[in-house]
Amino acid sequence: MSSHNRSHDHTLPIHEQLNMHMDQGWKETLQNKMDHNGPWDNYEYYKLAYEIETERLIPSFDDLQCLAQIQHITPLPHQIDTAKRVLYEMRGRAILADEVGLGKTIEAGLILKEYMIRGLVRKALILVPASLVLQWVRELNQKFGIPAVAQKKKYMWEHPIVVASMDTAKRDPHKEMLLGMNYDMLIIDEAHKLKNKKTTNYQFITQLTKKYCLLLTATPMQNDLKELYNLVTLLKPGHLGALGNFKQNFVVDKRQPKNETELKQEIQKVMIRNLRSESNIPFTKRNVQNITLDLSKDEQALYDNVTKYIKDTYQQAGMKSLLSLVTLQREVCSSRDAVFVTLFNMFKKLREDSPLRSPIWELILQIKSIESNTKADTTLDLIKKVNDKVIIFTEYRASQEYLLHFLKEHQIICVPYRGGMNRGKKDWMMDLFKRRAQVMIATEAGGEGINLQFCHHVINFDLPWNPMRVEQRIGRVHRLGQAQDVNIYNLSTKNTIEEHILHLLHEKINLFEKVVGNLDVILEKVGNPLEKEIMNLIVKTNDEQELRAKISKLGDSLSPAPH
Amino acid sequence: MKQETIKNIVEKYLNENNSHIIEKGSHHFTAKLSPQADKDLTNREYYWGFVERCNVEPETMTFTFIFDEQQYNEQKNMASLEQPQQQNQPMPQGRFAPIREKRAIEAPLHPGAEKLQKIFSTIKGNGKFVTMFEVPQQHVPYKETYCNTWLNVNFKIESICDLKKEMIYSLGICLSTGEIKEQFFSLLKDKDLSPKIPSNVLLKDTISLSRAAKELEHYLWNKVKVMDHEWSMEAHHRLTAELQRLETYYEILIGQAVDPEVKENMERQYEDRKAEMMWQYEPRIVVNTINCGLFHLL
Repeated sequence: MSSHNRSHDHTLPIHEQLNMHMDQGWKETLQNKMDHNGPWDNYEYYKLAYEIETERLIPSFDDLQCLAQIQHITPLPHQIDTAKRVLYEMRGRAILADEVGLGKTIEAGLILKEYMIRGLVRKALILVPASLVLQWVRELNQKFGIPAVAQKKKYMWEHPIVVASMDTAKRDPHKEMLLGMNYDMLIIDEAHKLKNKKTTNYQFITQLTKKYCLLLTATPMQNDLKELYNLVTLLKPGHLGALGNFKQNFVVDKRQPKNETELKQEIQKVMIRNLRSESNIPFTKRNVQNITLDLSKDEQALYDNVTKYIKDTYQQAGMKSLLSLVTLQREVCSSRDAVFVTLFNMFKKLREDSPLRSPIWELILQIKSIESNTKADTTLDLIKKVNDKVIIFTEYRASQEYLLHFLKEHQIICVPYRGGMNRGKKDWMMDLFKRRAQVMIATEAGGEGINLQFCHHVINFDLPWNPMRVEQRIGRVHRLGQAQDVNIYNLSTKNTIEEHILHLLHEKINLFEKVVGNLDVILEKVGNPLEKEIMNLIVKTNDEQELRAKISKLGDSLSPAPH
Repeated sequence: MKQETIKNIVEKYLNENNSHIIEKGSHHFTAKLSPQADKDLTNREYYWGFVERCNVEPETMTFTFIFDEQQYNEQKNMASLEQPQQQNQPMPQGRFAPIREKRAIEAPLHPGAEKLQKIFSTIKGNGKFVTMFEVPQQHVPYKETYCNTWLNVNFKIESICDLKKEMIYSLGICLSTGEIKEQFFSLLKDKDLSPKIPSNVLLKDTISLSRAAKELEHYLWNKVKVMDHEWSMEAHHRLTAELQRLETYYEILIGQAVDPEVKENMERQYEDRKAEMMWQYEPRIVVNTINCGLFHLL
């Protein structure tokens, strides 16, 4: 740290809290030159050096310097305001939580640049998802003239400004090196990945030494208040008190805050969230339509039998397996292919003589008899109706494969997109979608880091538990540069677990809006679904009371990513 | 920094190292670099190593410095529209191809641009210590003149907390009388100075460098002491509040920890966080020397 590195300094007190440190090195050099009569430097350069220093002088604390030094972009007013607030109010430690597509990268770039111009940041580490490393390097280089490099070899950590993926950084041998460094600034993109205290990501970031810190995420809270608490605590330990105090002061239930105004105030001291609607940028409209479907007769029969199977198994196996059983229900609602894969894997795992095998086999046989897929038919109708480019999101790989096959049968050109693809293939798929295909079918992992402003229709073939993931999906299309209104179609089936998911999504959106701020519309507003009824749909048992309590609890702890 | 200032500095730099400015546009300069400037700017260490070892005639690059990229490109496009290039000549192929491409590069020189930083750091690195003599206006034979030696030190004073501001103090101290003058640098502007001692000029006895330096530091210290330091009090309050927050938080955490390993871990974390806060907020003034020189004035 800079304060430890003053062996050549002479310290003079100014007042109790302030010392003046005088550089001493020049005296020895000058004396040396006097003793040997040179060599002396060029007087023209002497004068020029003084002129440069005078011209570059920054005489005040709070006058934004970076704007004059960036080329090729003109930051938007909300981006400049954000940079100023982070610099002068939040003192360089902030969560940048703008809605998707408002330019959090630009804001972070402005802040980093300002600190660099003032010599307050020399060494910075920027951790982003692997797929965004090169994009960040390019933006920092081109838009801000910041000489950032992508970390490729171990020695490259020594470079002043490094962009790397979190997964690389937290692994040995890199981890040990990074923990030994002092970072003037740490920037983390997609910081919602730090919502869980117990993860290696979280612990690694806690251990890093950093002066300024920016956490970038459009979705600072996804499921419950504790995630927001963790994020704020990582940035400023103690800002929301110890966990006990925090719960006492602000939490009734995981998704039920109290003293919201006060909580919101505290959070706004460390977090900035710009909204599309307030940004003066002409964002196009977002039309959301929830399409509720009735399952066909044979699909409904399968759903009922899966539910019955769950009930039976639940009574034998207890709560532990309920989560995976609920997954089965969600899969039935998505496609028979999705549920087939899971059931088949369950079947294979069991011993050949296991009595548990036969009910599963019966379900598998029943799947085979199903002819149609209600959602796929609806999707096809929608695609034909809009007669334009469409992106379809699904949670399941098997549903993705099925849809590819199904749409191809109906002469619709479509391309897949998933997290497992390498960078080149992803770019290729995006290019195909832009120029050749009418439809892109993406799994959840496709939701991050792709920009598809040329597409105006999003079909959520099935919905995740987590509203922020829905928002991330929509954000691929509804972002800066989108010229037309965007239409979003949420497909869900009646009398199934999907109704419960819709309810949960609404609850989480309410929480988010109370504590963090407004969300753009994700779901079409619906009346209060009667929770009791939904629960009844999941499992009808004699011991209804007990089960309901348990399932409600389950709903609380359900989150898409395994902790 | 204004474009005019940048142009001005770059021009002086090029002239000073004997580069030859070939073309001077309103938004750019094109110059045939001198060996020194080539070494400074083109990152061709290998080439220069080769040239020096083999003792061959170096060929330096032609460098176009662009002060306003947008305007420059527009101008260029306009020019190429007016004079359509003759593209129809067949390109020489194979062994008839020209062996060497023209050694020309261009780079933008807006504030913050990499090459500009390079020029600045070269200038600063080569303009740190000087000694200069004032040349008498009229040369009177056999008349000896005594001159005073002044030590000029240009200080840069940085006030740092989580923010930073800067100030420059150019001080000069007379090494024979101990007199101190402010804004010394501007006093030198109109003087005729030479790096060689003119004939018939004699130097007076002087105090030691270390004593003079101490005097200057003391002078500066007194100047700084009476400045407005409200900012440092504010920074100190911020620091105190941050430390307070950490204390409350970690006291609970450390108190709750049962496992000694967890406790130790928490204590270490607390120390780390405190150090970070000091690093971020602690107000301090740092004085660095831009450059310094001895000036023998009449």
